[in-house]
Amino acid sequence: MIRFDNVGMRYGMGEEVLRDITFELDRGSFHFLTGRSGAGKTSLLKLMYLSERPSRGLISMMGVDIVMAKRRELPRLRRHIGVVFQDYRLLDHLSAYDNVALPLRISGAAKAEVRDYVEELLVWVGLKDRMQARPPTLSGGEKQRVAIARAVINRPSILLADEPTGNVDDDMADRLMRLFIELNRLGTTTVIATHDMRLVGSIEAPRLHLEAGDLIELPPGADLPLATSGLAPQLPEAMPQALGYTRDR
Amino acid sequence: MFRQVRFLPSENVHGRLLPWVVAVMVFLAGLALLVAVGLQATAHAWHEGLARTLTVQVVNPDAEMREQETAAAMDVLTGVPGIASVRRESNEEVASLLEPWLGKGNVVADLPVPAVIDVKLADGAEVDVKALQQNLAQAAPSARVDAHEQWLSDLLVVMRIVQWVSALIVALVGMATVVIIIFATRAGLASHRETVEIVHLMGAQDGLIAGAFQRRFLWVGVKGALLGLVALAIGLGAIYLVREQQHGALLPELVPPPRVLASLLVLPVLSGLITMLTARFAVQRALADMN
Repeated sequence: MIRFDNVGMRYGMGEEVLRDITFELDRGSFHFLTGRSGAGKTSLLKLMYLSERPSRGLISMMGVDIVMAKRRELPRLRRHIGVVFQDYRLLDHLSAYDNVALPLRISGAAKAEVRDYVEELLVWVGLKDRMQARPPTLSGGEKQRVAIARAVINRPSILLADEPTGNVDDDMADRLMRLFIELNRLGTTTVIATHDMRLVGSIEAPRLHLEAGDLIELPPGADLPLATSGLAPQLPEAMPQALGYTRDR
Repeated sequence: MFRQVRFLPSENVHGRLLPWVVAVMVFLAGLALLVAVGLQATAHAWHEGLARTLTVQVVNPDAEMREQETAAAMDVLTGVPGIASVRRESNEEVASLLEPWLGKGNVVADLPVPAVIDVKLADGAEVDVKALQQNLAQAAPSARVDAHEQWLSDLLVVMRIVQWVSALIVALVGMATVVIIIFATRAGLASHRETVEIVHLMGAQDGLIAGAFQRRFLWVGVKGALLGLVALAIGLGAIYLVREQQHGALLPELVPPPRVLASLLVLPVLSGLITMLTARFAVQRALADMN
């Protein structure tokens, strides 16, 4: 379903943010994507949801060579990919209902189908009474649920989620994970990028771990190798002098 | 045609001003077009009316001598082959010709007004104006033959130049409109970039995104053109009223026949098409920069 082969990526003329990334995700697989801030998780997701093209290497999505694909071939592929963005990226001028309905409308779904699906899904994520609310009036958790509903409304072949449970309580996080698992059970290839180790521990799923642009594949339940297991970055112990601390103190 | 999906926010204040810019453009283009069409019609009418005619003026200041010379000149003219008809204009007709300059009722009886003879040539006939002038000089020494050709051809040249300038104004206004719409579309794309990017990532084809912009700009073009036409109608009405008061002396005939006025209704369609296609082209160019 997704195949990366020696993929490198850089922004403009900068250094590579991803190096020699090679992995293959089968149809219907479920993976967590972990790594520190700045390790390249969002860049990897961008390659997977076809927002960026790699600087080198080969990427195959749903059997299509993305590097060689013509620009006009990409929209069809994108309609099979659901994305939950870390910052939600909801359209503020549209209601929650219209935000969720947008992918269906772009795909050309019938009005009745749009209405039934959107209402059902918004009820499921607990936003029955907030359907006509606009994103600026929603709480962080409500926005996140709208973003997730928008990503899954089209029953995508691939679901990519960047910190999808970051702003909801544990109960809602579990409920949303059940939604992802159910979609995955129906055949959706799922990749969830997260810092939340409670979430990672809640499901037996393999991990793609990024360490400063390099990828390590880990089977379900496996720990990181010792050399890379520190989730906290290597930071100086002394407090910064700029804040008024001196070395003596 | 692509599906319609509403995803753009309603227009901001800059977007709401755009139809007024288009209205000004259409007003200018319409005015220039009317000048061009009006001059064309006037030139045609003059050419048709004067090309087959001659005017003979007998300018002797002595009234009695003038009458004798006029009668002699009419005799000569009647006998010239190729002349279809000869008619002396009445004193009232001559006075009315002077009215725009002297005012109504100001042509006094003892004013030495020349006698005017209208000469119509037969279809296809050629008359040697120089020979005619010589023949007339013997019978009526103060007779002057005006073949209209010289001043008419000079006037036609001036009219042609004005027509070309009008056409140039229409072309420049059209180009300016296109440039304004390109900038407005780019500004619209920049202000809605996040929206466009999200819709793009959801798998919207370029055509669907461009379609949303082109519908918006089609309305801008049509609305602006209708506003421009209303302004043009008010302007024409004002010119018409002033011209009526002046008895048509100074202002040209800018109120064209209904057929030409009806053809101005093409402007909203044309304006809509220009703005729509320009917006579509600009959006597609901008989208091509996205992956």
